[in-house]
Amino acid sequence: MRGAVAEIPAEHRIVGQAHVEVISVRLAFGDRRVFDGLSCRLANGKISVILGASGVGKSTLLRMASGLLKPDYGDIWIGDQEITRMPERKLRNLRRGLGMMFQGGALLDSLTVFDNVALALREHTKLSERDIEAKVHAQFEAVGLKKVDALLPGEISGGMKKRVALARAMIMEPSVLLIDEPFSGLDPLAVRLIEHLLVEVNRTKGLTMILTNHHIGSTMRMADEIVFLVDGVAVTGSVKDIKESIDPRIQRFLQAAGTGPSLEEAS
Amino acid sequence: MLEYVRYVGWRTMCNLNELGGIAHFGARMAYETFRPPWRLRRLVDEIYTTGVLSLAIVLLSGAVVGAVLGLQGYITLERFGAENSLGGVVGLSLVREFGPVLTALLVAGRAGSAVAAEIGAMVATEQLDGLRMMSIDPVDFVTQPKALALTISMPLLSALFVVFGIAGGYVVGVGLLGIDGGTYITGVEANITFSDEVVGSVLKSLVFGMVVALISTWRGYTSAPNAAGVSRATTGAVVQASVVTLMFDYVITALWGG
Amino acid sequence: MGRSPIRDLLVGVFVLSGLAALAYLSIQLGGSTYSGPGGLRLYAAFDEVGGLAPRSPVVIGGVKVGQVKSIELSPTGDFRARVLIDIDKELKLPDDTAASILTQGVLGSQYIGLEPGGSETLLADNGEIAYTQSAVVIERLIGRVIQSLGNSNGGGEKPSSDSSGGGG
Repeated sequence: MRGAVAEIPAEHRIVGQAHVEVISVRLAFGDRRVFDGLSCRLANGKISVILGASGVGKSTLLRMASGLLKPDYGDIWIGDQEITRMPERKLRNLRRGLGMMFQGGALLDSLTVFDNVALALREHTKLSERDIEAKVHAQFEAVGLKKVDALLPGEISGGMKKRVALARAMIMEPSVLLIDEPFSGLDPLAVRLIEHLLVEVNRTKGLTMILTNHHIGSTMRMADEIVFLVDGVAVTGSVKDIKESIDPRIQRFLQAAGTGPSLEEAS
Repeated sequence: MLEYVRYVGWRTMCNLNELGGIAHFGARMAYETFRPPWRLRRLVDEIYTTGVLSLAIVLLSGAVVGAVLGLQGYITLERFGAENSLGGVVGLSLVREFGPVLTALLVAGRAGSAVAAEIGAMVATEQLDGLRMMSIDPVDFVTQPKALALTISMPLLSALFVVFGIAGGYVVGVGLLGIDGGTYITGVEANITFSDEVVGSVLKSLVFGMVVALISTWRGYTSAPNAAGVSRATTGAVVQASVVTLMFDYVITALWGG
Repeated sequence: MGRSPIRDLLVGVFVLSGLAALAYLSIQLGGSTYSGPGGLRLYAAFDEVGGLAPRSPVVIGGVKVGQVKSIELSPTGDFRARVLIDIDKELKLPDDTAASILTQGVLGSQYIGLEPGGSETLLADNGEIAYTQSAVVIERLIGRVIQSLGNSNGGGEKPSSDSSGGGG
């Protein structure tokens, strides 16, 4: 983990103004309009949480920011590069500076946990097997995993899968980390653990972290900025801004979440 | 009426689009096949799941088909007093048609469906997107070794099918029906020539291997990311691979001058 | 995926046995050369070879001893077919050996049967088998039978007369 920056070619790192900017994005799946002129800026080195009711397009926005999904219209900038019209080959280069943690982990279930995390190092660096092992184990330690090397993804719990996924997303030392629903399907204790882990990673590495989340409690605790998605557009602000927002749609959402059991569950 | 014509036009464009997609996909896999890294490790694992695990069903079917051919051939030939030609009939049918075609159908059902289902499940669980986010091309890393393994396994399985079929015919013809063993083997040897039958047979099974490989990986790769999509991809892969195999069989037989 | 020695072994066995099966089909069954010893090349001329083809077997007493190498028109210009056969060179065939083109069953494939005579002198390599019997062509035979039946009763030739080959 430490001293790894040197091995990654400079052009693969999104240096300096590492932030993501979404400009006037429109997207429809068939007749269903998801985004209608969505714009938002996700700040460099901060934790931005995309919040909103389910089905509003939180994960879709994250997938667009990773280049996995192209909007029908609009621009998405990562650093100083526009990615919606980028060919796959260039996108592949750009993604070396991006880490993504998928909701279900998206670990390759034919590979062991160790091989999953080591994969990117084996594919993209010329590190020796011993160096790779050292790096992977350092990463495991950072996310609090022990003695999982030889296990297959099907043999570990959901919480452990999330940690392995986080380790895998972090192994190439990205400057932007995209995280899809890190707390879904976890018990309250595991939510706390993952939450602390993410905050610590953000503070120690200073990387830009964008996550989708429907847990109000954890969102309020960890977010530097909140992107609230509603009716195909985004309302951006600090935790305080959102809490004190007079927008009725946001108030309704917060009230529903605050009175419901989800606050308890999340804290 | 105009609506119907427009519908036909739209369907045609869709089909052409799909065909172009498959061609491009196949070309990418072919390109990755000859470009390092070669991923021998993954290839060996895939040959295990496509080839070795298909072995039992292919060998069993080969022996049974050979036995049936022996029995049917004997009954037919006996009417003309030509039962000594049984070896030729069994050998030729197996090498020219039954070996490559039935092996391809069996492998499509056994391994092609598994390949489509596995890739489809990887799409549904975002594993392919996970690879993309690690800057790894899923076509290179996931589908190409599977397709190559299928293409390599097919001629080997087909040859084993033929050998077991000839043995099955031997058991029935010689063991049960009392034809002379030497006559049977001589009949097989005299009728099969390297340049016509064996080359044609290997060519067929290679082409069928590519057909099954391309269709099953493509259906898995383009499967909708949910359970229904995976099941559609799996069924579609088997059905399409089987039908296209049979069509190619006719074309190759006609061109090769069987 | 973890390295699994058993899996690797199975893949190796599969690939090797598949290649062995291919080799068996190519060399043993489809082989361009007779799998037996061969080495003694003999010529035999026939009026009619029927369905005889290169690689048709040559047998003595039902045992395969060689195969037909080639069939072409005789260079002497008498429009007979000249068949080159390749048989086991260990065989000591007398020079009055007879060669006949026979059929397995009625419609089966054709082969050459050799019947060794009693002469003291042996056939040498590239020698000529003098006594030959041509193939019976079923269609012609049937034609004759029908024809003779059509002529109310066969006062004419016997159906099998064509099959008696010419010596030479």
